Amino acid sequence: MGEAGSAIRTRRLTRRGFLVSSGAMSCGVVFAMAGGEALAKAGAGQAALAPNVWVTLHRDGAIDVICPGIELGQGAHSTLPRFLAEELDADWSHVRVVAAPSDEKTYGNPLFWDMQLTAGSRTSLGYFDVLRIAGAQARLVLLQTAARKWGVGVEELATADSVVSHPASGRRAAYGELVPLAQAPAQFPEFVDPDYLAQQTDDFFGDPPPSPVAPDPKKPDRVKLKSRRLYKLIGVDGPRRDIPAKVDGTARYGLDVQLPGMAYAMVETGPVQGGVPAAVDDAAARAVPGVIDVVRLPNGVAVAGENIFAVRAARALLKIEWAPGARTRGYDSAATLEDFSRIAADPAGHAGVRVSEIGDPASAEALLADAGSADHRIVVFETSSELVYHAPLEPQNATLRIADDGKSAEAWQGTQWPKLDQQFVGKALGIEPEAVKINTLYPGGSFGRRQEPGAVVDAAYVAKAIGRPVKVIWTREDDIKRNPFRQALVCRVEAAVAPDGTIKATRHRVVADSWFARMFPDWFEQYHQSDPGNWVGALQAYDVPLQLVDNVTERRAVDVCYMRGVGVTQAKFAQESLIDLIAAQHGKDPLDYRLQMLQATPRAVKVLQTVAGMSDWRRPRDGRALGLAYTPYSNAHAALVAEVSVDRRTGEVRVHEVWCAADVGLAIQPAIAASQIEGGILQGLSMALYERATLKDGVVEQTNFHQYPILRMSRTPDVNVRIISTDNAIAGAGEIGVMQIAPAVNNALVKLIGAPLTAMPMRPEAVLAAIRA
Amino acid sequence: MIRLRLNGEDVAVSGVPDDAPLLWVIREHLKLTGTKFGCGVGLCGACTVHLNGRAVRSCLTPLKVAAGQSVTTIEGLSRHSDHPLQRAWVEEQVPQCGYCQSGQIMQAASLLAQTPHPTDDEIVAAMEGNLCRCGTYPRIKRAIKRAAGET
Repeated sequence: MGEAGSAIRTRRLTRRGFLVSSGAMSCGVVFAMAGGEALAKAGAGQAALAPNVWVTLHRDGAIDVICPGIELGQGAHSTLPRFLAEELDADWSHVRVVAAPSDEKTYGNPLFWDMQLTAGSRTSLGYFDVLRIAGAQARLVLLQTAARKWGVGVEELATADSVVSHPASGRRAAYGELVPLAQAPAQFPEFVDPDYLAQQTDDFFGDPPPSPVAPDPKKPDRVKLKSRRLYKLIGVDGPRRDIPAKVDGTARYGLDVQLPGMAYAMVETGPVQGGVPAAVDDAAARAVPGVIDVVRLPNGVAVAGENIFAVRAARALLKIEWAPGARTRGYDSAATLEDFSRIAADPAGHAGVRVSEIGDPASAEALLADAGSADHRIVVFETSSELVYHAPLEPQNATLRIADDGKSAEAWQGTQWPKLDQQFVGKALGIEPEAVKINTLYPGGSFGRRQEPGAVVDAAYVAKAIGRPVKVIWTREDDIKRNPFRQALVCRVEAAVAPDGTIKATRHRVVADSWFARMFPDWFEQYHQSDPGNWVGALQAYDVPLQLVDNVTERRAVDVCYMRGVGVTQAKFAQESLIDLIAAQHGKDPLDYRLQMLQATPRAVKVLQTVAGMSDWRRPRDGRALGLAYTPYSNAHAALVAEVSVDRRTGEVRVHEVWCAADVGLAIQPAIAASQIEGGILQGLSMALYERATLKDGVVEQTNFHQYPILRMSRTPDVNVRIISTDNAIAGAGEIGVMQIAPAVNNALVKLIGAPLTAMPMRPEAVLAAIRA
Repeated sequence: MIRLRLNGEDVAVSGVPDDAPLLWVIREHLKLTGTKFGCGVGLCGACTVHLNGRAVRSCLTPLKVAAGQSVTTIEGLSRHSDHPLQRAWVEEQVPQCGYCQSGQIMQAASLLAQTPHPTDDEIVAAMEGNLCRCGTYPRIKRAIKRAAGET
């Protein structure tokens, strides 16, 4: 996938010492005048007006807005179109949301390397400027049309709720009425945001590209976008658009696709990932009535049939010998983590890549190498986290049809990144990626899993082999066995702590396998052979003048892939547990200690003080304990308190109530942000307490939810989330909720069992061991 | 051929093995796709439908068990998507990805049909088998209470 990688430019930054960063890129979003040109030729009388590639206004008043972000349940369809509608002064009930086609040149995210990937909490912020410009352009066309019609000046006109009015004369025209009369200007003016909020540098993405609406004294004549004080749609909660169809069974997911003449297929794969079929006895399977064919795939054997019943029956009759030597054979997840731990503790033997530093690195190294003196002592805390299965409730599936001439194909599925699917399907079929059309349906859960192609590649091979459209369905067992897991990871944090508890220096070493190294080697190279998904969040948010972050990438055979929260969840489990440890050693309250070290970050102070108030932090709980954690992520800030108890006989950890305060900058839809954070906390809790995929001799030991438990209702705490909307640039809310719960629970556990745990998930065995110790 | 009553209408199913899971018959043979496949072994509840008014896991229910019986899916829960639970689900903005919600609603409808005013413990006991990966459980609980308050 090298071509995608070339989008990143790397350069060294001095600010806070980030050593790797995506460079500044120009805003790549196209404002093609295709609509306008067509309009000029057509002249007056048209039924629809498309001033740019983002919006089409119709004579009947309907307004189609292209949504470039995929609706994963995070509210993309209910938030992004608001940016355009706000500037257009559209009646929100007239707006119809149209999912963007896969077209990165036109619809790529300027804050995500111009790619059309819905991930990384970057979607709403990435499209804020371009969609507002698009709305402002459309409004301008309507204003000019009304001004011409009435023979008045544009400056005499006003807009609201899809109506242009001329207050002086009382004349009014609905947007739809103006559509037949509209003419697009030869050129649109440039726009400027009068209340501009600059995006800040991001740990993962580096400096943002220049905003097209940033103030610029050299451009005094630009047209002003709407002032934030006048917003009616942005910041004002409305119901999510996708919800009605999700309560009556009409919402369509990938698995729901039914094509005429469609066959069904399932794919048997080997006991270890990457297994290759050596010998296949398919006689019994082929004899099942309704079976169309048994097809060899590079890493599996597919059974295709007229209906799913035949496919299920025939699959069970396949006899396959798998070639020895599959790459994952011998992989042992427990041994891998032990290995990572040895590597983390051996900087001399495994230096890794220095990915971030603050202050003079030599001073930091010297301080940390000095085992202790009157001036400081060294505190070391190491944590591990196991492989995690994304576990979307909808298993991977795809439906695919190849054109009769074999030169193009069309696929239906849920995905986060259609372009990658196009590339993989194109390769499987030997056609250009652009010849593959991806129809994106609602995904039944993504959480990072649907960044990477799955069943759609199987579907391409099978459809080609049988010459018919096919729906490929993975069972839950397939979905677990074939999942690229969230990376197993070891974090080792060393801190030089002064006698008064001041932290003088830290070194954070992260050892993990890498998604980038496997899938995007160019990106891995451009990040200086590191994976930002493993080290993002590893800088301390606290006032620590000397900081080092090193990333060791250890390639292992089992595929890993980013998951919601990337590596921040694991990094903060280590760091925030360590902060409480140091606070306790110095007799400081964990809240006071954090506030003392965050004086330079008022937004952090605010969320901490807010959550302390929400949770009544200083009130002791009978038989239970409170734990606190704070994490910034992608320029959002969140603090969380968890109320925890332990069953000292079984070791079971119970979380009873959670409070979270989050500052997400300008909150576009505060209620949706709250629901994202609420869900994130519960997914984070599930990962903190229960979830791990383990492998013995390369075989994933869990086959279904009885062996891979995820959070159920009985273990769900009450969750209280408060969104603090501030005058800061939009920050994503999709992931930040996942990140505080594990350390907060751990920090409560210390009070109950006397010591922090060092492994995620925090299992009853470890709790009992700590109690016994 | 097997006859059953599906969402109030008589249907005849032919060309399908008697022991085929009702889930796949409903979804892929009868093309009512609101009922979801999640795990195939009764561990997640995404496939929940009503058999004679009681919640069952359609992935574990052989077609022949439904012969001559009444089956209700999410599509048949109400005529205008206005079952008190469906309205409560919208009011509380419950779904995120939404995939599990047909099963959640059918499970909750079965609970309220038998226990119109359930306690918290009764809600948890009834809903424990329905997984939601997005973490909408607190809202599901609130929506059930809201709907129970209306009935």
